[in-house]
Amino acid sequence: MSARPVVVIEDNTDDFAVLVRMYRGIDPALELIRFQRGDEFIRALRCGDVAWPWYVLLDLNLPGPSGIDVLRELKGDAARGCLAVIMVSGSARPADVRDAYLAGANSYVVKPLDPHPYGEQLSALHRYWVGVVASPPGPPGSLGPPGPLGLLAPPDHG
Amino acid sequence: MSASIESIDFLAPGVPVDLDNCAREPIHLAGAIQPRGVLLCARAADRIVVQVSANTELLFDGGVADVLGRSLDDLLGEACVEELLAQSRGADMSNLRPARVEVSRLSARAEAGPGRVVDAFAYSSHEQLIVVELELVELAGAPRFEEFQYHVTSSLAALREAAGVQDLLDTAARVVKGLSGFDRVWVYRFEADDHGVIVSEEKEDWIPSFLGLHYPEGDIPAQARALFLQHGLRLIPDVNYVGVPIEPVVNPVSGAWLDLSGGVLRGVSPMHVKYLQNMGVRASMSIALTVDGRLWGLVSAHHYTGPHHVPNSVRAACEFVGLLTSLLLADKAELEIYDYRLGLVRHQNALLEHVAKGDSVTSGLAGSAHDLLGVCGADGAAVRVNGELRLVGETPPSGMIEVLVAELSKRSDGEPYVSDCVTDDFPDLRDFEDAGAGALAVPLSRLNGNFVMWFRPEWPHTVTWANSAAPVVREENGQLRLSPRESLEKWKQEVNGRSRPWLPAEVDSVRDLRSALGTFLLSRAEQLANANAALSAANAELDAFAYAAAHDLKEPLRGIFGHATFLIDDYADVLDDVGRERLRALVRLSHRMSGLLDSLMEYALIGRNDLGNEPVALAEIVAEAAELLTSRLTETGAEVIFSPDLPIVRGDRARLSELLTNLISNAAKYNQGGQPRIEVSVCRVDDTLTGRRRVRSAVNAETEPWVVCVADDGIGVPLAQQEEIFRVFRRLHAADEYGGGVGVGLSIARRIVERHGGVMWVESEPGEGSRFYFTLPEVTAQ
Repeated sequence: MSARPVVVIEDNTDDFAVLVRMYRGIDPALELIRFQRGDEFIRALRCGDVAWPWYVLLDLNLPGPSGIDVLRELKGDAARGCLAVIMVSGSARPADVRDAYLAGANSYVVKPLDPHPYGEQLSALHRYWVGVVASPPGPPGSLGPPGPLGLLAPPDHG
Repeated sequence: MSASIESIDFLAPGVPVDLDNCAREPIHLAGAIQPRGVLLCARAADRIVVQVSANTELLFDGGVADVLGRSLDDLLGEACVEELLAQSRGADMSNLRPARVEVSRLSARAEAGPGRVVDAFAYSSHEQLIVVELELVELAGAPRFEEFQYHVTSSLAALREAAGVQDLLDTAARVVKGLSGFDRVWVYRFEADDHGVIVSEEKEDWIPSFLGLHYPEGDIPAQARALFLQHGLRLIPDVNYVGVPIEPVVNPVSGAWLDLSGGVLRGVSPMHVKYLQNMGVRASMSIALTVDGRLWGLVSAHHYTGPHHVPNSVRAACEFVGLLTSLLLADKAELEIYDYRLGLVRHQNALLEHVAKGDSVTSGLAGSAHDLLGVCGADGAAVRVNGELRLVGETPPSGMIEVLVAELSKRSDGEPYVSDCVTDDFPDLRDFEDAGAGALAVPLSRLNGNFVMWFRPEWPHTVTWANSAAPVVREENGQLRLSPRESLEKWKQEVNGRSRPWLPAEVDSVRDLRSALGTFLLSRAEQLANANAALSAANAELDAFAYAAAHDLKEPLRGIFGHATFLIDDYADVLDDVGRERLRALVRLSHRMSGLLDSLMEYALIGRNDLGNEPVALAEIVAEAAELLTSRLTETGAEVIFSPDLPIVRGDRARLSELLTNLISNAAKYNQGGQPRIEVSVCRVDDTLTGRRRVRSAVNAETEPWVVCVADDGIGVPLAQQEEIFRVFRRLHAADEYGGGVGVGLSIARRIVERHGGVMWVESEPGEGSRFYFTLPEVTAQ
């Protein structure tokens, strides 16, 4: 298993806790890096402060720029636009789903109430992006050797 | 009154006049003059006299032959002629100013002696002719200048200060009588049909009164009225005069009878003389009253005790009184009308204020009876807006009013209907004869037959005519001949079936009210549109709020659910049965709450999203719904039956699919064992029990004759609950009965139908199954 991380942009700590628990079951060695705001992630990505992730789980409802805004910004970036962005939301509204795909989302996951099926969804998703398809490569230089585990700890979540 | 001389088909001059043709008598071409003076007619070019009245000896030395062919300069003196010509050029017909001439200058005879004077008038009725009239002045009877001046100035003050039209006319009659000394002076007003009414009178005590009498139009025929309009005053000092013919009678220059209408000596129509003689009149004078260029009436004077000479100076003063009265008349009439209008406007304003406060224009108008009637001084009124008829005061029966509305709706001018005798226009409306003899109606909008109408009851009254309208046949010299009316015997005419007439001010008032109401109706429509828009916005906001609230509530709920789940996962073995059961309850309740929130979000979304508008085959939708529900339907053994020729409707495919899914799943759900049988069909509105009432109340039944029916053989819904079941989160059964559910499926179904502009209802009886009906736009049976 590679040392590339998965980035989670999620402001809700409980939801993040659920994710952490789910991913523990999927790949205990995987590094989850959490950002509470989308713009913080984009800044970090552009500055090379964060390693090129396998994919990004992006919550639709965020403080500051909304999930869609962040998605558009990411997909509009010539060098980094190929990053796989998975939208995660409690909303199954067709309009929300359509908007996300039109803005370039690579997948759209509706968070179910029950964590068990949620875990199965995430597991399938992870296997797909890490093991099934060729993962989108990062811009030159971003795929350097991963730093030691813990060096790229999330800025505000230990 | 507007008749002009040009419009009359005159008889040839000299044709004998009788009662049948006197309206065509060319009275301006009399061919003769009154004997109180001499007429000379000369060529304008050389002032040579070509016509003269036969009485030349009155003023000149010599007969007609001696005067004809002489020049005016020779007869009157060059200076005098120049003065007269200058006068005639500057003067219009109504203000001839005489030049005073000593008779001794005209004649050497002794009787023409010192102190005798004539007033000489000159006028031109033909461009190549000049007419000079020489009128003898009776100096003895004429008032002295100071006396006269005092009379005139005090009269003017009295006229100016008159309190109103009636006072003005009374004053004018009094002043003219004082100035002229006639036995009777009265004021005559021409009505709309040109017949006259005596509205004011000043007379000697011993003569009977004429006041209030009506005179037929023919008594002062059109050509006479036209002459009055041209020349302010007309005098006949002695009706028994012997007319003096003009010689030759045909003017050699113009080839026609001389037009005498510009002068003061013109001979009087023999018919008129007869008329006056029959009334015992010896002398008469009339002064025109004109308002806005039309002959409003006359100040007329009669003398009975003998001939009555009025010198030109007095005539001029009387004419001036007539002129001033005319001017003041317009003012004072306007002022009176203005006061009356002001009263009407007050009612209008009060009425509009009332309407503004009321729920509707109808109730606003009808609820303010006093002002509604006051707007035009009516006794009854009807307000008819959008088929609702409200009656106020005394009115004809409502059925008759509806007939009138239907009749008036056919008229296309949009103008007020004004009548003091409705049955004249609509003979079938006999019931209008009493309370609604007269009607005034304004359309608010003709297409809808929206009217406001006012009524006046019959106003039976008597018009007293001065004498019978029938001509009198009289024997004279052994011959029967037509004669003007012999006497002033009064003739009473009963006037029935008519209301008091509507005044122009009253018609204007309702016209004003109509336009005010029009803008008011418009602004109410706008208000309604605004209110609707605001309501829609509020609804949308509420939907948005409900959606956002439900969405946000789900987030912590997911957390609760997650933690409860993890607790069970991680600690199930350290908890006892009670603990585990409580955790499972927590999970179960969270699940249920999530379902409620989902439904709420779904319900809110129906209101928020724009609907598609495409043709949707109902049969496809039903098939899809049945397929979607396969597992549940198989579970219960339910059967969905529908005819493949279900109609095509217009709407949002996804929503309609949701609608049918909800209805079918609902039908499958509420069934007491057995195998539910669900049938989707289309029927006429009339085939349903309550459809016509429901459909008509919401949409036009004419255009929505088809309804879709989803029928089941389930448990049914008691009548009392048939509306309840459509309310959000309203369940008639326990949450775990009939497969559970949050109680929003039917609410969503109805909301989908309503968003499509349709209506939805249920007809059912417990144990007998239910039939859910809904209408949709353009449901077309195939």
